[in-house]
Amino acid sequence: MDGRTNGFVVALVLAFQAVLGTVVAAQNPAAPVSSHWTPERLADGQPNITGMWNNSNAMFTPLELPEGLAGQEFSADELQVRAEARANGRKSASEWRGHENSRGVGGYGTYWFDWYWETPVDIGQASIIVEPAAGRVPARTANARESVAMNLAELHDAAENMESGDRCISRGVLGMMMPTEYNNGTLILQSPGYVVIHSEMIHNARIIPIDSPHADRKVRQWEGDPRGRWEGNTLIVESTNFRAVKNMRGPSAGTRSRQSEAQRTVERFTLVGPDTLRYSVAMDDEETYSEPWTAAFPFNRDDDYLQFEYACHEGNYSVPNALGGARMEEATRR
Amino acid sequence: MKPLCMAVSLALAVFVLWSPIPAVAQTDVPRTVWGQPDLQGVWDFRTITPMERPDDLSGQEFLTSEDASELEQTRAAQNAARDGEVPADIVGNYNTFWFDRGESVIGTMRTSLVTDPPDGRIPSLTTAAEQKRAVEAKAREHTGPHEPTPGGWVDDLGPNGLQVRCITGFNSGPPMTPGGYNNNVQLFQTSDTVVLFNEMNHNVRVVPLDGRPHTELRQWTGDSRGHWEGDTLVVETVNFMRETSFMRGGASADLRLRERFTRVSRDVLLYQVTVDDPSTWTQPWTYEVPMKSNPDPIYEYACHEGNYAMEVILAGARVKEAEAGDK
Repeated sequence: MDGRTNGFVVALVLAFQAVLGTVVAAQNPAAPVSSHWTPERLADGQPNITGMWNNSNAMFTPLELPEGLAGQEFSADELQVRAEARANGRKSASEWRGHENSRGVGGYGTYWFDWYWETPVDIGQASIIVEPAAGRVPARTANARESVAMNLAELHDAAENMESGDRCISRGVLGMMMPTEYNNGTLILQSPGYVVIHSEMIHNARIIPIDSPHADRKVRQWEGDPRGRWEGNTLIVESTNFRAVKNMRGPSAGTRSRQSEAQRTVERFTLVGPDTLRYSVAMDDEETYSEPWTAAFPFNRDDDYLQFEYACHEGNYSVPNALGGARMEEATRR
Repeated sequence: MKPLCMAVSLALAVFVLWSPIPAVAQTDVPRTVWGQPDLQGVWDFRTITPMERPDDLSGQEFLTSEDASELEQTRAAQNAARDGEVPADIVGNYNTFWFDRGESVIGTMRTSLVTDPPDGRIPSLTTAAEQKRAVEAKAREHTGPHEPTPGGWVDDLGPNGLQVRCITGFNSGPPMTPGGYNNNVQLFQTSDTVVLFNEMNHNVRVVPLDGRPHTELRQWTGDSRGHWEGDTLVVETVNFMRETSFMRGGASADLRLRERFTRVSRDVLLYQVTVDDPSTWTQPWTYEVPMKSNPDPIYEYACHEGNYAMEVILAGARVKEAEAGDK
């Protein structure tokens, strides 16, 4: 292929991507995708979504749409500009000052974060939250607000009050699946009757039986009781039987929330091309949120990604230090 | 029948009934749709059979059925005797209700899990390992198994430190060893990957079967690679970061493991492990556990849920130090 032909093909691909980008931006990303592309099937008939997936591309899209932008459509160029601005904003807000606490005491140096190293891209949507249409997490119930506030006030009174992720127990369904600052690699394996999702973050595996009834309602787990079923090419995972957790991270890093026994999540995984897995999670927890909401973003196939062994408590002095510091503060105030 | 004659016949019967490693592909083993032996499901490795052959069974490779039932009855009686235990009996421990060590000997009737060396005993330690243990024992004199080495903190919790810190469980390995509770592992297979999901500590090992080489990364649970040898899944693990919870920190980072999984019947998955750690033991050794199929689900193990132990242990150690200083 000579240079001119090559250039023509690139231009054609770019033009196609621009058109496609516009179309994608106008769609509801959580809606079922109709495509002529058909995924291959595993020997047991399941569509093959096995592989190493990475959602770090979605790091550059904000969780919520800024107020006032609801309903506004963005071109692919505009979304790309927004992604770059977000990346640059983060970098400039956390300039390396020659020591680990450059981002303030308790923060990490910039080089720990995936967004510091990766090229910002847009994912065809202006916010990760796609429902409600305002693109924002609905208000928390009065009870949930009070509960979170009370918990924050007593955060370091006991290890049990600390965030479940800081305690290395669980970050919940959202903490496993939502794009975050690091450890965004997610391994999906399918064996007959099961889907196994191995999240790099805190070395967690979710075992999802397919076409199997939920465990007894009395069995309450930190990550609930996930059950899967296939609807066409979409894997639907419904989780119930969550245990109440008074301090669990919300939909993104820094969003304090909680989990009630009423929580029910419905996740949808659809392979829309050989290297793209559309994902959405619908959160319904009437005791915590005033209405249900849905987040959506793509995972990209990333065969070269190596999941490191996440040993959450290796060298972790933060729990005793945080509690010890709080006791010292109390003693000083007396 | 004379006792000796009976023992020989029994050993012969066991040998005939128990062909340890099938040399050729078995036809009656369930298979995945892609043709590999189907090892999937929850497998239970509880047993009252000890790792090493007890002195009083020296020279005896297999238990008689009378030996086995006597052992099982003794264990049942010991458990029953503890029903009336009071809290004072169990400071720093659980009461019997929480233990789930199993009630029976392994199906092969071996007197020990160790099969090689043939005396059923773990080989002797190297001189260097003996010296290392002596130094540690000296530093931890008068220190309980869950207490920090005097003056130490989170990193210095001794041989049980990794389990107390919820980093690795005490029986999930690798390699897996029967322990006090949570003796279950669930296997999942794809054509090129096996997942070993241990109930203990919610630990998961993802084992590629696609022939990729080991990485140079050192990890707490090492770096596992698997392949099929006939109908046996072989998993080789190297690159441990340092000692693991195996044998309570007994092995070193030089540990090389060869685990073999063979479905010898619908209900039994034979688990065989060859331990090769030249820094610790004078020769490699092998043990095996016939794991039994378990129809029940694995629960979510949330190691730090309600876990006050580490804080309390450390605080207790400081109190002891202060008291010693006052004297």
